[in-house]
Amino acid sequence: MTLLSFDGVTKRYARGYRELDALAEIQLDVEPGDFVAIWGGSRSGKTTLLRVAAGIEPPDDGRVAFDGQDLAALSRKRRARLLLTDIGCMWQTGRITRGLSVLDHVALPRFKRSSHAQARREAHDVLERVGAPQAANARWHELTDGERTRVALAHALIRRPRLLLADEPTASLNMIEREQVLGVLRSVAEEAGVAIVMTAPDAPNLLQSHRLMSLDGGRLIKPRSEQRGTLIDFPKAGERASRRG
Amino acid sequence: MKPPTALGQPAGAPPDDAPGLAPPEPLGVVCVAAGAAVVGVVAAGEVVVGVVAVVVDVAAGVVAALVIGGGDTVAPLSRLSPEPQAPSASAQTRPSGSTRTRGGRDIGPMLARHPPQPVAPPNRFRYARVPGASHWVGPLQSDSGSRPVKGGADDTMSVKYAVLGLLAQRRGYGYDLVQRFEEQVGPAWQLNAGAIYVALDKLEQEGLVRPVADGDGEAPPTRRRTVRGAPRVIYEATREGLERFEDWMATGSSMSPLREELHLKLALSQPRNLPRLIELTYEQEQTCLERLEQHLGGPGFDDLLPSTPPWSAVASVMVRDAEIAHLQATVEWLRRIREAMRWLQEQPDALRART
Repeated sequence: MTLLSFDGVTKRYARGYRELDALAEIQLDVEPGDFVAIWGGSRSGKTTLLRVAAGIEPPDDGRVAFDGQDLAALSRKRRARLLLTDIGCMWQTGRITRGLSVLDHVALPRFKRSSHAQARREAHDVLERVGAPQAANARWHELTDGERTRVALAHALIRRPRLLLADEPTASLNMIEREQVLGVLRSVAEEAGVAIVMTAPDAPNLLQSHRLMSLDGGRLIKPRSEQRGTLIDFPKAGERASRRG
Repeated sequence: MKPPTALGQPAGAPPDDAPGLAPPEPLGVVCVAAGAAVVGVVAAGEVVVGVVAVVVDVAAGVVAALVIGGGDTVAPLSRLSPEPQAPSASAQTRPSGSTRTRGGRDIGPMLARHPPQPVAPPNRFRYARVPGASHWVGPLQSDSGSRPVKGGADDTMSVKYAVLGLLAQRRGYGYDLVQRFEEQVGPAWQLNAGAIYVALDKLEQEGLVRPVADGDGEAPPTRRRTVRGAPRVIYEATREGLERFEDWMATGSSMSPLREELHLKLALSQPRNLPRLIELTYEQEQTCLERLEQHLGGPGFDDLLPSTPPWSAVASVMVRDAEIAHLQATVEWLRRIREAMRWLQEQPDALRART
């Protein structure tokens, strides 16, 4: 059963008088346990891809389905609930919630479901799992970049998501931290069956994943082994011109 | 016996070992890239060399030239290089005869049509054409390649020294060397098993390696290693071979020229080709992704360094990382030129001005 599916998803941003294709006709199916790495440079559309996958942004065209449900057809409340329970996100600009300790920030998604003490115990466990138990009692400004990444990962994982969206989780990590974070992602996919979509800016960061593809100018380029049916959608000169109106 | 490892195994069964253990991939696997057709043809030639060398006891370089030349394909004329017995012989003094004929066709006149320049061109390369071949053949070196030539890596020479290095690590027989090469160098080289046997022949003739008794030490060294069923020959490096290997390690390394079919298409393209060229960049990027897929889950520095690994593991990862780095650079280049071509496509005026 496909967990996340993109069907012809297009997203455009208005930039002055012209439109910018942030995503163009994306076809992508992610199964539970898949660890998908998307390789894109800056402005390639990878953050937009994750935001659309999380249901934070609606697509302009096409359909995004999570577990068979069209995200755009869900109410705002249902989408918010999905983000609290089923979809974990690690954003590059991640910060902890203002006024909370690191531990409480990590435990936050569980506060509604279980007692605070129980949620904090879980937060401790998950911080241990991602290799940052010492971060629990630290202040945010005391954390290294590696620890912040791991706190963000713990925050995403504590809700026991079925889908994890990670935007450049390896940025600003050193070699050993990177291996640890990617190792956690890989084991979460393989042992817990979590589907992961991760973006990365360069090749070495991609190679711990199970599937890799490339995003450039909003177009997803897959190795031929990934091609099911249609070839990548080549931009047609006339089409692009007319789109700009 | 190590089972066949990753993708990109060399094609061609090693002749002296159990054929069941040979990597089963068809030749097509070897030439993944769109531009690799030429490589594929040469590869085919070399595999045939490996087999032919079994049957005919002719020095392999000659066989390579004959087989490839006869196949109407690209033939690096460096393979016409003199026999190891006369390693200093130059192209000019090379005796014509069996080395230059194929099926009674003398290719000597072809060489004569391209006499050595009185003033040597800067890169000492000349190109010649094999009769019947539709391509220009590879660099013609006047020397058999005993020194690295700037801009032109001589793969045959590299493999020869690699075989010497493998034998310096420990003795081994042909297929064992093929496997160790694959394991230590990785799939990116796209080694032809035949090249190892060719190298062994050359090395033995130069006295850099010698066959040693098999197993219990009873069996005499067998020269016919390639006949199926015959006892396999185990080689070891001679003292001179070890010295030669050390010399090679100390010398600078040549770098292969960057020859991609796509570069030629770009260079020879017209503005009207722009849409197709942009498509080609997508296709090329797909090919890069396919090659990168072969490295998925492979060991990286990240996994290795925290655990103080053996040097051989680090060295192997460094070599594999070279292909990853190359593929990454290629993809980034493809994205750059795609962006540039897109921009030009949307600016007809700019395009006209450049036509």
